[in-house]
Amino acid sequence: MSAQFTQYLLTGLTVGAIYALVALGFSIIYNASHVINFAQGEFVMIGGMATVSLTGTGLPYLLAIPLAVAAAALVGLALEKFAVEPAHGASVVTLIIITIGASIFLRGLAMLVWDKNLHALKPFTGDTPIAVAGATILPQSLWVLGVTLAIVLALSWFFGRTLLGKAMLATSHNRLAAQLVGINVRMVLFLSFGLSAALGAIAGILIAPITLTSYDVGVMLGLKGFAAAILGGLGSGIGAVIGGLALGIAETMSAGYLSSAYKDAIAFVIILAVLFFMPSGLFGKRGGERV
Amino acid sequence: MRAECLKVAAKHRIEVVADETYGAGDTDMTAQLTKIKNTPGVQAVLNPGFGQGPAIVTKNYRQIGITVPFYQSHGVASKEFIKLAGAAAEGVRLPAAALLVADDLPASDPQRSVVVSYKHEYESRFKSEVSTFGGHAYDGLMLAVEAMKKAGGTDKAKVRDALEGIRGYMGTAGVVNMSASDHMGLDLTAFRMLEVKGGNWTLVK
Repeated sequence: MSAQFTQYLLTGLTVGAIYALVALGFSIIYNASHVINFAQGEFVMIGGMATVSLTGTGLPYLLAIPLAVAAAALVGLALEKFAVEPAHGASVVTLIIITIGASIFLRGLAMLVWDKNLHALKPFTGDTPIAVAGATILPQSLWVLGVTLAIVLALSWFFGRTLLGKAMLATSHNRLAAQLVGINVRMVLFLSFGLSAALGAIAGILIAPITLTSYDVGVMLGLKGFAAAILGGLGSGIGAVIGGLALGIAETMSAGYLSSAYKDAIAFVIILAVLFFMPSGLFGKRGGERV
Repeated sequence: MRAECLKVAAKHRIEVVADETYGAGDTDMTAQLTKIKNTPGVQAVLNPGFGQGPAIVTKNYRQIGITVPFYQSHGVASKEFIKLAGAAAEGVRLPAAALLVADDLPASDPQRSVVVSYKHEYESRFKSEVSTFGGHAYDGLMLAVEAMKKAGGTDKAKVRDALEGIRGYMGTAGVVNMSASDHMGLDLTAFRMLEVKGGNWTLVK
C-alpha cells in the first residue's frame, strides 16, 4: 500500500512542479498589472515545440534550450508590446479578453509553424527508472524537481535582493506609489511578461520528455497552472509553488484512490472550492476594496 | 472499444480483474498502472486506444516495471507510435493489418501481392512509411470504384447494391465480404498478431 502511495506522491510532485512554474508565471504578471494572462499556457507550448524543432536541426540541448527559452521570452515581450500596452487604459476584463485572444492566435500560429502531431523530446539524462522506496521515478522527474527548486530560489533572490526585482515587487504592492518613487511601471510590466514567458517555456521543456508535446498542450497546462495560482493565492510567489505542488499531488492521489476518469476535473473542482470558501487562496492577500 | 472488449472477453472466458480509464489528452497514467500492478492475478494488460494516450501508457508501463505481457490495439498501428514510445515499445504486441509486415509475409499468403504492391507504390511516391490508416482509405476508394464498375455508372441505388454484393475482394486490410447487414466486410483474417522488435514490426509466429 505504501509503495503505491509513494508512487502517487512522486508523480504528483513532478506534475505539481510544472504547475508551480506555470502558476509563478501567472502570479508575476498579475502582480505587475492585475491582468490574468491566459496566454501563459502557450508559452509552455512554445518552449517545448521550439526545442523539438531546434534539436531536430541537430543542435545539442545546451544550445537548443536557451534559444527556445529566449524565443518564448521574445513572444512574451511582443505580446505585451503589441497587445497589452496599446490597451493600457482599458479595464482589467478587456485586457484579460485580449490575452485569451492572443492565446488562440498563438495556438493557430503554432499549428502553421509546426504541425498538429505529437512530438517527443529525448530525456536529458536517460530513460531508466530509478527505484525509490518501492516506487519508480524517472531521471527526468528529478530534473523537473531540481530545476524548479533552483528557479524558485533564484526568483526569491531576484525579488528580494536585486533592485529590479524589488522594483517589480513594489509595483505589485502599490502601483501609484511605485510610480511616485520613480519606478518605470511600464517597463516592469514589459519585463514581467518576458519573465513569465521564460518560466513557462522552461516548464514546457522540462516536462516534454515525459508527457510529449504538441501545438495544444498549452490549453490544459495553462488552465491547471491557473487553478494552482488561484489555490495558492494570485500574486503570491510562495502560494504559486505550494498551490502547484498541492494540485499535482491532489490530482494523482484522486486518480489513484478514487477514480481515474475524473483526473482533469480535480483542478476545476479546486477552483470552485477555493472561490466559494477562500477566494484569496491559501497565501493571497485578504483584502477588500474601499469605495 | 472498451465496451466491445468487455463483451467479447466474457464470451471467451477471459476474466477482467482490473479496468482503468484515462482521458484522451492525459499526460500521465502511472496512477492507473500502479493500481493495475497491485491487483493480484493480472496475467496480461490490454490498452485499447489511439493517439498519444497509448504511447504515454507504454512509457509509464515500462517505468513502473510491470512485467506481464502488454497488448495494444490496432489504433496504434503506425510508426508514429514506435517513435513516440521509444524504447518502451519493445515487446508490445498488437493485432494489425498485414500491411505493416508486407515484406515478411510468406509467398503463399494470399494477401502478399496486394499489400506489397501498395506499400512499394506508396513509399516510392510519398517517401514516408505506410500505415494501416492510409491503407484503409485506399481500400475504401478502390471498393467504391469497383462497385461503380460493377453497376456500370454512378446511379446511387445500383452502386449501393453492387457494393453490398462484393465478395472476396482482397484489400490492404484483408479479405472484404460485404453484405446488406455487414458494411465493413472484414473478419478476423484481417488481423495478424505483431510484436515490436528493434523498433520495427515483426510477425508473431
